[in-house]
This record gives sequence, C-alpha cells and structure tokens, in this order.
Amino acid sequence: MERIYDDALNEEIYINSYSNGLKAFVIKKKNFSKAFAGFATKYGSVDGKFVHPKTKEVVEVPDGIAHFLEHKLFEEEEGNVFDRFAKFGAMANAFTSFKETVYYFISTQNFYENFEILLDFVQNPYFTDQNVEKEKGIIGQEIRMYQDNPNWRVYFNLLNALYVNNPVKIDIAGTLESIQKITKEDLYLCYNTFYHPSNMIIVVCGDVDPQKVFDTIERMEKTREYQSLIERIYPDEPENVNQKKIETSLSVAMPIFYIGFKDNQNDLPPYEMIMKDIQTQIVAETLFGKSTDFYEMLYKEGLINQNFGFEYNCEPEYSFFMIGGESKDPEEVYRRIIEHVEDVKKKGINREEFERAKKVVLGNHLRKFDNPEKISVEFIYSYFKGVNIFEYVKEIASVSFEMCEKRLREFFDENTSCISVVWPADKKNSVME
Amino acid sequence: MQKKEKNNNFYMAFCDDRFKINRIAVTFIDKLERERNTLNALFPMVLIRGNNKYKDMKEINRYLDNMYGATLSIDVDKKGDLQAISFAVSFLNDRFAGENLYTKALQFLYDIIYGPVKYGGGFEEDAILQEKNNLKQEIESRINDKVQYAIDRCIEIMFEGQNYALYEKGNVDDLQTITKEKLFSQYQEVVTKKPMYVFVYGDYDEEWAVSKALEVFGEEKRESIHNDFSINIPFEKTKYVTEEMEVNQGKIALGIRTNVDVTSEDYYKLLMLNGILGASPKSKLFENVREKASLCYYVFSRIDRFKSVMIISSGIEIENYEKALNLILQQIEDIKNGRIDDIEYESAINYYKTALMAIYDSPRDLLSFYLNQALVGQIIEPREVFESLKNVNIEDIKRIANRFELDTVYFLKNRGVAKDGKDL
Repeated sequence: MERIYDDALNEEIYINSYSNGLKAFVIKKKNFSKAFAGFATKYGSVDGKFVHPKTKEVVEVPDGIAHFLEHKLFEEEEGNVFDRFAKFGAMANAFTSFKETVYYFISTQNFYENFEILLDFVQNPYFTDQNVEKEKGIIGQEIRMYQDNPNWRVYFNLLNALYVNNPVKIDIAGTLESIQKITKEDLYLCYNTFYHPSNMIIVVCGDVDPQKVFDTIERMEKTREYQSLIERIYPDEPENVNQKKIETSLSVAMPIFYIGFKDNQNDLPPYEMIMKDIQTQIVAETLFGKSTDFYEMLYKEGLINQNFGFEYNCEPEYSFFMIGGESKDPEEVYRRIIEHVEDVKKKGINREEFERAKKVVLGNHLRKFDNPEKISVEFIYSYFKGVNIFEYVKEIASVSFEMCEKRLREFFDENTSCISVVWPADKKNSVME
Repeated sequence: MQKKEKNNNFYMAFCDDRFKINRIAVTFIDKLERERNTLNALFPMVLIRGNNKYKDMKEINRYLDNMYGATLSIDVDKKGDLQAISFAVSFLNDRFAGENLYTKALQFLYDIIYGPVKYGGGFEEDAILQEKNNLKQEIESRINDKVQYAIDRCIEIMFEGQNYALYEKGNVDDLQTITKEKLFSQYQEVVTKKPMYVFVYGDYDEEWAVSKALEVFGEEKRESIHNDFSINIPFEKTKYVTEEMEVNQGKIALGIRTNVDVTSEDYYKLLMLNGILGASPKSKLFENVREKASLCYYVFSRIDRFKSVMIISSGIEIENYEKALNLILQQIEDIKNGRIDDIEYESAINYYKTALMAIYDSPRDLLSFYLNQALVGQIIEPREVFESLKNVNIEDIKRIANRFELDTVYFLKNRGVAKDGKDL
C-alpha cells in the first residue's frame, strides 16, 4: 500500500496494486458521512472494434453494446442486485461514457457490506436470452427519452459534424435498430474481454479504512489468468471536420447551438496532455469567459444569455472544444466567435485577463474535490487516459502567458470548426428571418 | 450550528473545515401571487446586471473571477404558496485562497442585493428590457425539458385558479405590463420588508460568522408570512387531460391528493409511503413498471414538502398509455391493501437514511434543507428526520394510502396519434 499526501490540496490518497493487474485507490475524506465506491472498466461506446485477446481475430459488435452490458450486469439469477444493496442501504447505479463504464454506490452506512456486493456483482455476469430481450424495451425507452432531449441532440449532432470516422460520434446507447441485434453471446464476449482486472480500477472516496478496503478486494477478487493488453481499433480520422453545419428541429422555445473546434493534436504523452488541457482552459477563459468584453458585448446585444458556456474534452484519441447555449441567431454568434478569435490572435491575449483566467481555472479544479462522486469520477476519467487529477492543480501555476499565446494560435482555427443547431419545431422560419 | 432570529430575520451558520468551497445564501420570501410572481422573478436578473458600485455585469464577473472563480447565483423557487427569491455566493476557503474571503463575499452579496437602494440610481432601462426578454425565453423554454414540463402541466391542471398553479418564474403576459417603477418598488419592498434568511457554510467560527453576517445585513423589522399547506379546493372527480407536442416518447404525470397535513407527524408516514411506491431503488413502480413489465426507463413518485401532493411521472411508448396507467394505479392499490414486502420497506428506509445523511456532505444541500425546515416551522436535523421515519409501520402506510385521491392524469403525446386519454 502506497500513501500520497498532497499538502497544497490537503488531500490524501492510498494506492494498492494486485497481481492480476487490478489497481485500487482510496481518496480519504475525513468526517464525511457518505462514501463513494466505483468499480470501473476502461470500456465505453468507442470500443466497438477490437482484436480478441485470445483468438486474435478482429471483432466488431453492434453500437450501444457497452451501455447494454452495463444495464445487464445488475441482473442476477435470483432477481437483481438492487435487492442486496437495498438491505444495506446503498444507492447503487452505473453509467457508460465514451471510454469507460463505472458501477458505483453511495452509502452512509454498512460500507464494507455494500462494497462486497459491488465487487461481487461486477464479477458475476448473468445473461439469458430472455433477460436480454426484456432489456431491449427499457433501453428503447431510454433512447427515445434522449431523442426528445434537445441538449443531447445538439451535442451528438455536433460530434457528428466534427468527426468523419471516430466512433465518439456514435450515440452511447446505440440506436433502436442496433440494440435489436445484441445477443447474450455478444455480451459475454465483450464482458470477458473488457472486464478483466488488468483493464479495471476501483476508486473509493470517503472516511473509510484504506487497509480494510484493500483487504476486501484481495479476498473478493476472482483470480484470473493473465490477459495481454486489449488492442482497440480506431479508424483513421482526417483533420478536417465532417460538415460545417448540422441542423435539426425539436419542440424547443429558442434555438440551441454548439460550436465545435476539432483538436488534431492528439496522442500526446501524459504530461503534455495535462499542459495542453490546462492551457486550452485558460485560453478559453480569456477569450469567452464571463468577465470578458466579448461576453458582455454578445450578452448586451441579446445574442446570448446566462446559459452560454464552454468546455474542452481532452483525450488521447480525440479532443474537441465546444461552446454554445441558446441564441436567437446562432449563426451570427458563430461568425462573431471566429472574428473575435482572429482579432485576439492579432492583438495578443490581455495579460490581466490571463492572470484572472488562471485563478478561475484553479478555483474550478479545487471545487471538484468537495464532492466524493465528482472527484472519484474525474479520477477514473483521468486515470484511464494516463494522467492523475491531483497533478492538475500543481501544474496550473506553471502555465505561462507565452504557452497560452502559442496554444491560442495553434488551436483555435475556423477551418477546423463547425456548428450544430436545434431549431424550434414550429418557429424555424420566423427565427431565421 | 449557530442560529439567531429577530424581527423575521433568520441567521444560521454551519462551520467545519471539510470543504474547499464556502457558501453564503440569502433568501427572501414573498407570497406566490399573480400580481407579484413575475416581478419577483425579474428583479434578481436585473440586479446582477450591475449598479452604482459595480457598473455592469463585466465588473461583477471580474470581481468574482478575482476571488478565485467565486460564483454568484440567483434562483426563484416555489415553496407551496410562497415564492423564494435567493442569492448565493460560493467562494474558495481562505486556506486555499491565502486571504480572508468571507467578509469580502458578504459585502459583495450585500452590494449586489442592496446596491440600487443604497447607492441610488435605480434600474437601468436597457437592462430591464433585456432581462424581460431573457425571462420570457426562460419561461417559454419550459417545453425543452419534457419530463418536468409534464409534471408542471399536471400541477397547473390540478390547481387551476389557485396560487400554487403559478409558475415560480412568472408569466409571459404579465411581463409586458412591467414598468421600471413597478419593478423597482416591488424589489424594494421584498428586500427591505419581506422575511430574510441568511445562511452560511464555511471554515470559520460559527458565532463569528453569524455576527459578521448580521453586521452587514442587519435585523430591521420585517413582515411575517404564513404558508398554506392545504389544497383548499374540494375533490370532485379525476381529470384526464391529453396534450400533444412533437415528441418521440409519451410522458405521463399523475397528480394525487394525499390528504396528509405535511406539518404533522403523518408527513413522515407519507414519506415512507413515497419511498416504497416510487422513490427507493426497490420501489414498487421501478420494480413492476420498469423491471418486470419493461414499459419505461424512468418512473418515480415525489412529494412536495409544502403541499399535500404526490406526483408520479414516467416516460412511455405512446400506445402503452393505458397499460402503464393501470399498472401504476395497481401499485397504489397494493399499498392500500397493505401488500408491502420486507425488502420494499427496508429499501425505502435505507434509501432515506443515505439520502438524509448525504445532506451533511454538501453545503448547498444542507443550507437548502434548513431553509425548507425553517419555512415549515420545524427546525430539525436530517438525522432527526430519519429517526421519525424509523417509527413508521406498515399499518401507518396503509392508512395514509387509503386517504389518496387521484386528482389528475396528464398525458403528453405526439401529434397525430388518435388514441386519447379517457376515463378508466
């Protein structure tokens, strides 16, 4: 067991590694009532094509299978795992994202009993033809629910406009058609490939005893044979965007939009990725933050409202920046953003804005540490992409003005940008006038 | 916990060193009435556009950014027949900022709320005009979230003509009639005469934190306002309403009169019933409508802390309306007949234990929990609420369920499908 105490953050973390390749982390939160425990596998919606670790054959599975598998793992021969969690009072759930699936619970009592249930059910799949069929109805309704969600639609449309081939553009839950193709054999195949301890981590956050957590894992871990690294097959992605503009209409009151910038500088070593991530966040604050002249101007002109915001997603296989919200004229906002970026590129970043942006980015990172779920999930995301969330706070101070100026010039480019709009179903014509 | 109460000014502080972010929240309470609810939703939006101290939004945001990305938020909420108008600042713990931000944050919040009164100047015409437009869009954007929209429509139909039916953010027609003078006088009345709640969570000494807040916000005499928790309209028969919109999935919302006095001990029995019916992970609705019948992805029940009302909500295939409705109603019937498994009871009690104890780990949740307690007039801790739940037995739950009356069944479906909601 290894212990790291970060004095600047006032956080401590315990780490343990197991012979089968599993790693476990305890982020200690003294005097917290609740504890979070997450069992995560590096397997998400983008992993639809891979080389089978044993047969070495290339396998391609239906879209939405990682998410389907997540739903099905809760099923047990005698019912579902909620029966067992209910006894010990945990709130259990799971989620699937592009690159990971996380099973977790939050409890304020009986932590170790609940923890054993988590370790047990994630390691014991139970799929039958019948229970797989039943789940298609539930997931079908989940997909339909998202189809009616304008924020989800505008987001996936943007990814479709940004990417030509990268599977990040595929809806995490798949489609009503693709899930129909899923069989229990597919589920077992994906389970046996991606739910190997060497591809998984456990993160616990709360006022728990790290040694006891690690011992429980040791005892519960099913020993399994060694598995080589899983080779995932991602298609080549051109540098250009797939399309400059994508539009749809839904029952919304006002147009909703995202503008995306495709980042082609991927596959960097971890330290460089952290630095790129922080620099982009700082640059974005200086360009579009709430305290900039630019924000004030668009707001006063009625082009944006309080819902205007931005975020940067930084992964080894794909990175993109997105900015958006609601506007009566999304295309005008897009034009102004491009114009503004070019203007700042010419004039340079304002030094005072740079200093302020650094404070904001630091505050935003520190904020995450107050919430056990948030910090654990961030930790998992970061870990799977090869970086440590704790390093971020330290590195923010080391980012220089010059680095950010360089990043601005290299990254924000009209040619690799695009726009996604959801227009109001009944008002499209009047809004576009 | 440190508490001070005088002249309808309420101060509370909760302090410990567990968090990196502190929080100050100031809430004013007004009656939720058509004459004022739109004005009350609008004035906070105008306040954060600037005043004589911080000349515009940019200056406000710069001040916040320099406080290590502190955030200022405004919120208008419905608490039964009351409207709560809140302002909150969250800011970095002194330890990480390297300076004392508490008194700065207090003064900042005070200047935002009282700037136009204290430093003169009133509201700017342009800001009012623009925020009117923003509020109009916000009200109209209710249709974006279909789950909440169906619930809101169900309540509107159920409470037609009553104040509780009003939307907390107001109404588009009333927005047009708002003048600069009307808005300013309503604003002034709220921030100087209506009950005020100043709640703080931070890494400080509690007594000191309260005294500092008091120094800034004072304890001038304010009105007292009473909440009405009852439904006040006689039940006649169940209303079935179907509406159409461009949707892929149908949304069903049931409005139930619980006939429980939510300020009495019966409230805890109702809560347990709610856990068993549709809030806990092993609830009857989740288990039977989702897991067994595979009819939906989400289904839940919810109680309003300030009204004797339960709402049940689910998203279903449009053609499954009758099937889903019958199955939902069957779950209530089962509770009326006392058909409650041990696992359902256990799951509900454990669900509440986790949910209530988790409140202690979020300054935001804790402050809003205590505000709700204060507004109901019973300040007890989350762990005491749990103690009351533990005493509830199956007979209590059965008795409460037998008081239920199904008031409204609302169904949102797509356009052009013939099947209508009808009496069952």
